[in-house]
Amino acid sequence: MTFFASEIVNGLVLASFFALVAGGLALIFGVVGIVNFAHGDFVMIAGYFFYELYVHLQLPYLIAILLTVLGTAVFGGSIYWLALRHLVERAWYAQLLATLGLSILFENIAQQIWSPNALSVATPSTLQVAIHIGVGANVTVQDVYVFIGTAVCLICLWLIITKWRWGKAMRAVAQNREACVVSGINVKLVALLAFALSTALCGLAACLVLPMQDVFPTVGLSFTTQAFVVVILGGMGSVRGAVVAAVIVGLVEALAAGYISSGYTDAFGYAIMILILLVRPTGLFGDRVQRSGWSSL
Amino acid sequence: MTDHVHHGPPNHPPSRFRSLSEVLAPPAARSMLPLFVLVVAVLVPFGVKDAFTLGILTDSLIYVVLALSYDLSVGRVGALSLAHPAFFGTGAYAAAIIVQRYGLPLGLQVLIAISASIVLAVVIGIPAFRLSHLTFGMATLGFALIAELIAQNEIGLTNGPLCMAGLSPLSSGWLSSFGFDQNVQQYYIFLVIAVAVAVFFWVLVRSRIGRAYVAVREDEPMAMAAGINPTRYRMSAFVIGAGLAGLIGAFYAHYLSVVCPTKLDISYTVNLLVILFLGGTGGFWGIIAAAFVFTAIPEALQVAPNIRLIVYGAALLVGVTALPEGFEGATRTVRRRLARYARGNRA
Repeated sequence: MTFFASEIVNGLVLASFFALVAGGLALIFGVVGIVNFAHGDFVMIAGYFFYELYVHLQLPYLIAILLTVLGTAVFGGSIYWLALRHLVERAWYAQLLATLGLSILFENIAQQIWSPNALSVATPSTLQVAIHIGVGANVTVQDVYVFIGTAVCLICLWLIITKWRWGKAMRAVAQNREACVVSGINVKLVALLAFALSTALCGLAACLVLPMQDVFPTVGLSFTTQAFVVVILGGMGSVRGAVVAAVIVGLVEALAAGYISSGYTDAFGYAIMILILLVRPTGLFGDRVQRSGWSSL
Repeated sequence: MTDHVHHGPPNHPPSRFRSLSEVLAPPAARSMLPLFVLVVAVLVPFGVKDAFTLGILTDSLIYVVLALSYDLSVGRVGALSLAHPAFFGTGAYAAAIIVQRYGLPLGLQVLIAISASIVLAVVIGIPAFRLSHLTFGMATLGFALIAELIAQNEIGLTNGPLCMAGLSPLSSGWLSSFGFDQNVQQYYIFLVIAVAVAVFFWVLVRSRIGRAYVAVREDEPMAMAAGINPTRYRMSAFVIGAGLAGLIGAFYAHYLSVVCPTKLDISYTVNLLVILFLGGTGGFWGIIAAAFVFTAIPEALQVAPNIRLIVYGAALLVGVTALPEGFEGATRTVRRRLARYARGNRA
């Protein structure tokens, strides 16, 4: 029971991370209209930002987090404006290839700057205190931080896209781009904001997860594929679906790693995705009817 | 941007990018091209003596086979699979496991390697072809990553990260009777395989099946109206490509004499995508030329793998972003400008 409970806690921590990364990926797909294969690499870059700020410059924990999130958002926004903006109206395979190129570029430049070796960040000792909860699982303050951080962040995201003027514009652009252009919404600026917002989520995800996960240049690809698993499972472009799917994938992977084999953690995520797609080719929350899957994206 | 010519619907599978060579070479020269290329390829070992250069050329021949087999699904039917290295790796591991455990002859190894890749392709293809373009790509990537995890973790079967060794290099008694050394023999063996695969590819894409592939890629409803089952043809292209990748994988295992889990790595997919999209998907000579260019140049310049990937990443990003119509569009623009310039000079 103790083991099961601690695997559930691990699964929920993993789910929080997936929810932040995949939520951003879904936002980019839905609002900007880009298949972003470099998404996980933004998490990787953010991890290095955080490492530099927190370990090298020795800034306080919360200030380092804040600066990382801002820095990643600015970095993501600039990359979008410089390169990815030109891919918006292009076919999906062109977007996939170009962002795959971007991902390789990030990965190898990071390798040049920070070496291929894994870097780890020690959490402040105040965060490593264990809290004992009823069922016998040990929860650290760090875990609680991850849950609270994710929850606050997702609530903010929800408030942004339902209440804020520009957030409403994002949903409008996701629903009908042409109508937004006609009614005077600055679609280009909305897309830039959405991209920067989702890379900010990557930045936060990196800060929350970094003490538990080392950062190295090739880690981005596995984040990307995991995020795609979650987004495809939840239904392309649905942020709500991505959050639900993140919980499913997080729990399945943690339990499989605990009870079956830790070498195959990622494989169970893919297996779940493939199984669910067999039953629902559009994902859990994908409501677009696809009669022949090949005639539309 | 203003004179952008739009081919087909927006979410269209890769439509044919024509390559530089195809646009520039006149038809008469092109009909002599196969013979010329073949003669040059056969004569190369008489001029090139050092093992390093010959090794690069042999690598390029392997990439020719891989790229052509990959193009069957990516370029011909427009199914952007990301699982190709999995088939290549399956072929290589099949050969290595058979050699280590049962010591069967090369012919049987190759047959089993091809069969294993085909079975894997069917297993992957049946669920994956139910999905749309992008999810098809991601599902095949999922399978490819699972295959890599299996190669790394099933130590009893694959030896894990310690790799499988003990494969003997390829040689032929007939070739050694001419006094060729090991490197030259391997070069000729891979040349024969590459030519055989290229001829098979050429015949296949010009057959009724090949025309059906194009029909499925260009206009699925029309193809269905003509009685073509799109899924069946996509599946056949995917499976044939996988079989060819398995075949070259088995020979490659002998060529390298070790098989490691990194042979299933996504970096192979990246190399192949660069070759296909910069050489011209759905083409033939462009792909072959690109396989040589993108394999030989980085090797010859002794570029560190890291730097090579930086250049490849930038090439993919800039190439796809800045040249919306691929090289065909770019060469057309250049030729139009040159023609305008020449007219201007005469006037």
